Amino acid sequence: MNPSFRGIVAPAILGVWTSAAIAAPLTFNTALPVSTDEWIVREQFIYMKSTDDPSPMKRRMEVSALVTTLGYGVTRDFAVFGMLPYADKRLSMNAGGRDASRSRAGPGDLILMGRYTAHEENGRRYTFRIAPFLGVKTPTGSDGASDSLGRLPPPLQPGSGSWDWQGGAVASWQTLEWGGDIQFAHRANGEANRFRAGATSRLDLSVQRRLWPRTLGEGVPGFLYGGLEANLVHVGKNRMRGEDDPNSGGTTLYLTPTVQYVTRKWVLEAGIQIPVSQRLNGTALENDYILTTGFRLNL
Amino acid sequence: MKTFRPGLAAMLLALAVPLLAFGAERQVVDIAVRGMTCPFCAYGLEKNLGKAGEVEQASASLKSQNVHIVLKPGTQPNIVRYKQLINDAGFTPGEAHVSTEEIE
Repeated sequence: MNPSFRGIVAPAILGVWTSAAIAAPLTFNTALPVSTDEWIVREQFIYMKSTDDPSPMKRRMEVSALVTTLGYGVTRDFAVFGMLPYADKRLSMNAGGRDASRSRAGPGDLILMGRYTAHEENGRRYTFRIAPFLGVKTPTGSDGASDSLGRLPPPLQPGSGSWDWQGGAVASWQTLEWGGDIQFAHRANGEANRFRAGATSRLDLSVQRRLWPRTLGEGVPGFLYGGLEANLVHVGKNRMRGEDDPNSGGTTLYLTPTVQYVTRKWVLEAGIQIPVSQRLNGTALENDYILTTGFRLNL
Repeated sequence: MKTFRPGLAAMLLALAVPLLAFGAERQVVDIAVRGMTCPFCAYGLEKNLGKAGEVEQASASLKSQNVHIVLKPGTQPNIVRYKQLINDAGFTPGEAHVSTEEIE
């Protein structure tokens, strides 16, 4: 069974893991502050569907994931985040004239990340910040799961079994009416079970506009934001037993309309990532869409 | 012989407390805050200011770009500390203005 779609699953989950703080992008990080000693929790439900198979195998993959993120402000400039996904992955395909379906549900790999605000400009009604970040994905999820057909392929395993590193930088600019963010991130994956997932590089952009209230009153009213995000994600080829998998990796451009309702203590949010361009290698499975919805709490 | 009536005593006490407080004052502090742009981060600022023991309530205003700090009666403001707490919340404190208000 072809493990090539791990290149799709990983960036989808990866994209949400760092953005625990504030009214900000849905699919990637932000440089906006987490106060000293402040705890923030974020819960996201992600549904991803991939059915556009260029091969005759008619592969179809669905992933439903619940992603819990906890953020803590160590100092005014340094915040740490931990993220644990719980995913239900299902793959069906036609092999040799027979339909086959395999699935697995379970807790995935724990991700730990630190973010440091390296540059900051605060003015009346605006802020601009730049924050580099560094994180590691630890192999806490099971990577040896099997079913009646034998060991499950890497994309269906709850965990990867490898230590993966991610670094990057995000810049955020925000006023009371508008917000904008840009991020570059790179993730290098380790090897486990003679398999190494392709490295991921991504460039992300986000613009948010306050839709309501139209006129700002006193105090701290709830804000309704509408937003549009773009994610350019390049995934390298997977390596299996020391050789490149020609049917893996590629470049995808997503556009994501988002809506967020932000109050003092909580945020409700939703968005759908639509792949407007997919240039994938060989018969790599194409993604249909990724739906994300969830909430954040200021504890 | 006179008997002690607890119910009557409690009623008199309840009436007397507001009279005792009448005319009392407490200090309030308004501090400009730069970089405060969304409700979620404003709450972090208010929570941080609550760490100062003498602060009864801290209310941010996004429109006015300041925070209004109400102190407990009989306490004195510590502006340096409040500015540090605003800084710890990730914002830049500006000018501070201290005034008094009557307790209602």
